[in-house]
Amino acid sequence: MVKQQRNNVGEMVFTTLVFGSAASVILLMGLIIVVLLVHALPAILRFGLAVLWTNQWLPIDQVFGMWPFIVGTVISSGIGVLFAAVVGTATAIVIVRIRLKWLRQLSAALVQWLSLIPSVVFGLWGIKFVAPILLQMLRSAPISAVSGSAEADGILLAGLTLAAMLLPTIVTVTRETLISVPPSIVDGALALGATLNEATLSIVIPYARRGIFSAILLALGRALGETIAVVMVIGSQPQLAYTLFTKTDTLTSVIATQWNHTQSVYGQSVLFEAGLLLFVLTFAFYTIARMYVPRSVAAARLQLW
Amino acid sequence: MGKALSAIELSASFGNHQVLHCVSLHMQPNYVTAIIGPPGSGKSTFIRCLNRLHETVPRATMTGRVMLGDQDVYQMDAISARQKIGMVFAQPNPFPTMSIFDNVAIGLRLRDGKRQIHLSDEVERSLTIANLWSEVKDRLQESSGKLTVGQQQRLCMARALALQPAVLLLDEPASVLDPFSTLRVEELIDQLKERYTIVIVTHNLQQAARVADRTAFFLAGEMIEQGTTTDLFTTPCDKRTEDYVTGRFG
Amino acid sequence: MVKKKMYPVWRKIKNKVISLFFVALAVLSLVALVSIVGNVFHLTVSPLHISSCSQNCGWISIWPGIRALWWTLRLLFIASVIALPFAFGTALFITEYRVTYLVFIVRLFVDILAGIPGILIAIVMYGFQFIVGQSSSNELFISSLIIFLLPKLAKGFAEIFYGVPLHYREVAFAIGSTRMQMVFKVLLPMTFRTLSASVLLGVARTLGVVAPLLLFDSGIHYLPVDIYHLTVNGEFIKAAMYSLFLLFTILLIYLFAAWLDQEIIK
Repeated sequence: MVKQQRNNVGEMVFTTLVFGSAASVILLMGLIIVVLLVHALPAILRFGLAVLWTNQWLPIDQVFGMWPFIVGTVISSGIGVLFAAVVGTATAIVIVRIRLKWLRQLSAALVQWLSLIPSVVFGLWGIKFVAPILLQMLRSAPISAVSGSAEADGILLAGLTLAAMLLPTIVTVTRETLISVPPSIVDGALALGATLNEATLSIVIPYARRGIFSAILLALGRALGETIAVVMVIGSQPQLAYTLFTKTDTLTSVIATQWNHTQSVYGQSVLFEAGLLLFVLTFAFYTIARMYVPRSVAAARLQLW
Repeated sequence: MGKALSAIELSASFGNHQVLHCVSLHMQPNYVTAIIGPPGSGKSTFIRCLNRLHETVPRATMTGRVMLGDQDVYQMDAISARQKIGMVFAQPNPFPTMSIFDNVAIGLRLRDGKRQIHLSDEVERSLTIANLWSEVKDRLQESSGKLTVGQQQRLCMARALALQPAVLLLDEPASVLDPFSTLRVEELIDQLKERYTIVIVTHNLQQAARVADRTAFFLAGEMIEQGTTTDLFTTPCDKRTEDYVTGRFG
Repeated sequence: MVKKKMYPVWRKIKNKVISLFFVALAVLSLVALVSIVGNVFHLTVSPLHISSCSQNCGWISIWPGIRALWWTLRLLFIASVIALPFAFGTALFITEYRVTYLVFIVRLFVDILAGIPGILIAIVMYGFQFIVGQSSSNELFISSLIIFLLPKLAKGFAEIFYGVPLHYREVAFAIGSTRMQMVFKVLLPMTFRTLSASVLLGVARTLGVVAPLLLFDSGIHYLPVDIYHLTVNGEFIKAAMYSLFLLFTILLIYLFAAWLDQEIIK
């Protein structure tokens, strides 16, 4: 009887914990929305929706437009995800094909470790490794291609840095999907006289397309929300990106860089509005993306979201 | 027409684990040769050696020769060897992302290029031979995953037949099928032996007795005995064969 | 006959080209990934070759880095200890209870919160502190880390719980155990190693975040934030050395996690 009693207390604590944590998640979401709304309200009331398509950012004249940052976000993420998807998928295919077991596992482990590397390190890599190479290539390129820019900072460098950051994520998730392709299907293709490459292109990749797509979505989500690696290499100028070497900003990086430079009345409020926009985009993105992303155990273990 | 296929002193292993010990077997043209034996006796490895699929497995090695007619299979390149020696697997494995038509056509497309005039004729011919044409002719563009398992297995046979191979290898083709589908497949094998040399691996003794002209008995990676099916089942020479076919083990 | 002979050659060439393409891209990614680590190494080691500074000098300047690492790990430890039960409870709520509207909402919110940009967490914490009044930067740091870590852990746990086949639970319920007994006697023992690995890897990932902590100007050292400030100020060598500590720590955590849950590299 006593034992029964104790069990009931345990059960109650357990249920409280479970429901309490669920409530805390909802509360957290509410908190984020309320805080963002409260702080963004002055700017919203003052400027309305026009900030979305105004393409100038002149804090001194009280002109705030987020269009350059929206464009910057889309282009830099696009470059990053494109590079990472192509290179990452090919890398995953090669890793899966390695015949030596220890080498296969070692490369998988290496990639997984790299997928945990902080974005600061990627930013450092962008500044000290990619930028000099890009600059070298710029100097040797015909002058007309770039109008005398002496620095590599810009949207292309940001895209490349993002690509390197997303690469391990895509390789890890794609590798998991490729491993789960039933070998009997590959055997069937080989038995028909297909080469391994033909089997990969016409059978394996179509079969794994959902998994590869989900890896790309996962990477896209990370690219859209990445701040630090972008801040370090994008050059941080509030202007529309006309060339690949224009210094610009993304929605995330503008918050980081403009935060301490806001002299104007609405400066901070506008940044909250940028945050709100970012939040709405994130909300929409994940609401849609989760319908397409099948469960990935590798992503769950490596916390790749 | 089928060609004779013979394996000469075939040994195969995965890493350090040897699964086939010096097996020699002659498979006569236009005969159905059944390979029986308990699980793990190297039957599947044996026929995977015949069309050079064994070498695609990591750490797999093999020695010996396989002769198709008067050509050495291991002197040809693997691609044309596999085109001449078709194979059907235990698990029906039509390509799930392709339509029924594409499943049959892919072998031809890979061999002869993308653009072909007689492709649909060829597909119809193969599906007709596999007794599947009447069932699928109205839904050739549907995904192959929508077929029943029995139909899928016959689709796989049609896929292999589309290349007009000389030999057809069947790796336990009826192991996941229901009795009725099994019957259909066995009837099909009976019709096919006029045109092809057929090698069928099976763990089902009755099936071997029903479809095969000749039978070989494998045990622990060695071929114990071979002969006509009647002889092997009624008057086996070896004690182990007798024990197996009379059901004392396996 | 000629036609038939042509195709294999053409196919062979095509096959070679595709192989080459795959291998070239794989090498490219290998170069990129190795150069990331190599870059950090190179920057750290380079002053030893060039400058007149003796080795002693290098050793002395390590200490701030190690102290920052110690601070970082302490903050992270507190944050993860607080976040863990909540993440655990949320994951159980998502997976083990009858799917109602509420469960659906919580699942959606966890998905979104797990993918929320770090900088958003920073401005929300900043704005929150405006509303409730000033709090110490220690608390701010820890709560930012919790907001970052909690949904990620919860989502990871939920995926792991989904991976446990339903019939194990049914067996437990069939012999009359309560939900709590089922969780502690069936679910947890089955997934313990995976869960621990997941926690460790989540911690490893949080170890590298900067964005949620970026906007708080405080005396607290959090290693990645220090690296960020050092890089922005152009002190690359020191930044690289700190990064090396960070990489090494993450490698240790990863190796431990991979040992716990060997399925990861399977």
